Amino acid sequence: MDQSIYLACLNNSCPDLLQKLAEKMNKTFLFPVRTLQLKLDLKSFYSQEREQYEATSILKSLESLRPNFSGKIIAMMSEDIYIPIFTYVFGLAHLNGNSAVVSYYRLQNQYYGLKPDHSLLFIRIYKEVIHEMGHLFGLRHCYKSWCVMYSANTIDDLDIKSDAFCEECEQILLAIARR
Amino acid sequence: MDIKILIVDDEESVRDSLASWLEEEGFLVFVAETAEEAAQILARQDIDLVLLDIRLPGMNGLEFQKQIHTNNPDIAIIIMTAFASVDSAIESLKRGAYDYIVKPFDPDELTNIIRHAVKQKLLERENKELKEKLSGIQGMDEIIGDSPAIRKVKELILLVADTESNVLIRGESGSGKELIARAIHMNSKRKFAPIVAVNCGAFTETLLESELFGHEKGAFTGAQYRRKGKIELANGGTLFLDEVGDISPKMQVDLLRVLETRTITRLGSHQEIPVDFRLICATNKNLEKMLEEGSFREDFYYRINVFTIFVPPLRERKEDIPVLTNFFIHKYARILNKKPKHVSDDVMNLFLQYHWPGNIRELENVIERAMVICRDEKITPTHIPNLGSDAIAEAEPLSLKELEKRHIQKVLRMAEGNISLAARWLEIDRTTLYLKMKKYGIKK
Repeated sequence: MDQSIYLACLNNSCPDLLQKLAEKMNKTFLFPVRTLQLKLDLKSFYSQEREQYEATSILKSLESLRPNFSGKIIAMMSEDIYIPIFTYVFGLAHLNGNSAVVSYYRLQNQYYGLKPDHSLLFIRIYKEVIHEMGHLFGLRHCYKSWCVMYSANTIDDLDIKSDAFCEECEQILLAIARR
Repeated sequence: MDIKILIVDDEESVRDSLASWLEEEGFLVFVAETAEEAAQILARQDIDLVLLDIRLPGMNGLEFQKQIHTNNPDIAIIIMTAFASVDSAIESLKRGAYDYIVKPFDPDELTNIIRHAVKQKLLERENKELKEKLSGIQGMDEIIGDSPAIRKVKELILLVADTESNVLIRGESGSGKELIARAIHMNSKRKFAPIVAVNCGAFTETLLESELFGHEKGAFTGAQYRRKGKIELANGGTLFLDEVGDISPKMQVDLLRVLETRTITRLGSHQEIPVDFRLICATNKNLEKMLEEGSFREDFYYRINVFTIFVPPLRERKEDIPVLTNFFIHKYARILNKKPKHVSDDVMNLFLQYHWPGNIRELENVIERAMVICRDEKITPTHIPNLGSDAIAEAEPLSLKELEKRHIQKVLRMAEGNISLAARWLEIDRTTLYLKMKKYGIKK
């Protein structure tokens, strides 16, 4: 099983961010992390009513690109995303799936009326990427509020939790990596 | 501990994405498209929480909510609704739904609602388990035996437990009167409030007054702190007065006043404090004789003696001795960290022949001692104290007439010469008892 992780920015919107994320992840994880360029027309995922992009359909499109690469893909985008039942999501991945999507629209300080903070934004995106990666490797949400697998639905929750797995989640992840 | 959640929604996308999200949260998720399908799942699975769409094909959400409340009242229901049907959602809250949430959900709001509902569910489950455990520990299970005499006692306990009537438990010392009182309490509506036991024979009149009514700081020499009395501590629960026959006439008047006014006043205070408790008393004394002698007040007697339970002495339920023996062997094996032992046939025969004047308490003491000193697998006569002489006396063959004579003498002794009480225990009328006493030359 290919355990490589491919980081991609939809429509090449954030190449510097991708590189930085890949470097940090390669230092931390056993899985090789690579970057990827992806072109995806987002128009069909746009909801006029919600003025957001529908994340479930984006995941399906990412799946359709899979014959071109093995491993798991985590795509980032600057637009706001939702799923039918939720008003918004920061990211979406299916348990043991191969594709995940992360939106940094609501991770930016500007969204909350604050001054931009690029280093804080990077930390938030990193946490969200690691969280979705955890789901792709079969990790469920963790009840410990400081574990990266904690389900953070607000920016405060996201800032409070750390960017690391708790001991329990780490053990599960290591067991998966050794398979 | 797995929490099982059932999602009932006719929209596939809602079911799938909600199920996927809840599974990530670590819940066990079931989905249904209609109320009818959901009802089948509820019949098979022990569901904790239902996320119910208000608009469903066939039976709608509100109707189904009613059905769930009727058939599975412990299930928490969270109503899912579109903005347009918020009024219906509010109606569902009035009908007992845990909460409602408007579609599309704010992820934070949904998380909080589900986490709170689950937390409450877990607490309820824990609470229920602890209550069941508690009632198992101190309920009827503690009354060992299946003889007709003890079965009758158990029936009476269940009969009176759920009422608010005062109960008087009568029986010899060591026959387990406090156990009966606790069983009544644990089978009553008051079981989750305390049962407070007071041994009235263990206190002088002044101390008993302070023990029962409490006192204010400085109420008497040595009263350095304010202290609640046992009656106040039993508020909401049961007050068990053991050896009630030892209470002085003055205290009987004080207690009678409490029973009539349902208030107490602490020593050194004028403030009346309302109290709500059920009274259970126990005695091995002949209260009727005390009434005749004037040492027990008639009004207090009738107040506490609304319902009487006679606890049979062990010698009148000898068929329970093997099971009681086994119970105490296992009890002391646990306490002494030893393996349970058997009793030899000789020992069991002695046990069955002996008349046990100290009742179950005596049997327990004999077994505790035997468990301490016995190093073998079997308890033999060498491990038990000398029960022999009495047992042999009981074992000698008697004619029916002699047996009847001795039994009448014994009951009269127990009733302390009270003919009415002895006749009641013998289940014959007083005239017949007088005739039999005359026939056998028995004096009062």
